[in-house]
Amino acid sequence: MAAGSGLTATADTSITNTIVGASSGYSSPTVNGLYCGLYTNNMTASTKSPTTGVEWLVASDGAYARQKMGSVSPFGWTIAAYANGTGVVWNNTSAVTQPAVTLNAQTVGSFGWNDAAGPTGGNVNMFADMGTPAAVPIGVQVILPAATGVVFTTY
Amino acid sequence: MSIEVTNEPPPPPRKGPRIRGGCHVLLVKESTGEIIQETKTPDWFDVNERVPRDEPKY
Repeated sequence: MAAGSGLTATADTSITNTIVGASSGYSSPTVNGLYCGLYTNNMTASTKSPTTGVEWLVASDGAYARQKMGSVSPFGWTIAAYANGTGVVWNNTSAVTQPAVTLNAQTVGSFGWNDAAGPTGGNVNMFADMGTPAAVPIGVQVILPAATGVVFTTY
Repeated sequence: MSIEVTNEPPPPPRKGPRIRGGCHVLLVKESTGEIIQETKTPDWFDVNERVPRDEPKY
């Protein structure tokens, strides 16, 4: 299925409920309480679901940990002012580095930003699919470089 | 003023607010620092270029 990115389907629903004043609205993360997780598959444009993505497990990669990526420097986001024809562009301020894989080789197919430190549980607010998943051998780190690692646009 | 004639269908109407994004991913061998793979995911774009993107294809 086609790769996707943006809000998860669950976030789409809860945010819609929030802006129209309905029940079951969106619950904001606590300050600085957002974490970048790794997923084996694409969450896909059709389901936009972390269940489809399947998050890495500590039982399989003993070093796996969601990486803090919240609102406070140096773990935060650089958010540009709204620009006509583009929207609001926001990107990671600092590099985000996942510890080198241990125990078993992994595959990264998507990234998801959770409102819980994990390594499991919480809600995924937004995601970005890899398209073609990449093999991650033992001893290899997954890194999102500073500034260019993840770029979102609200438009 | 010129009028372009085309058989292409009109673009779909713009739908409400959206968030789209992508990643620039490095796979790095920790022991040597060697980059073994560099990937830009389908919706990634250079933040410095601020390039408007096409409407997503659903």
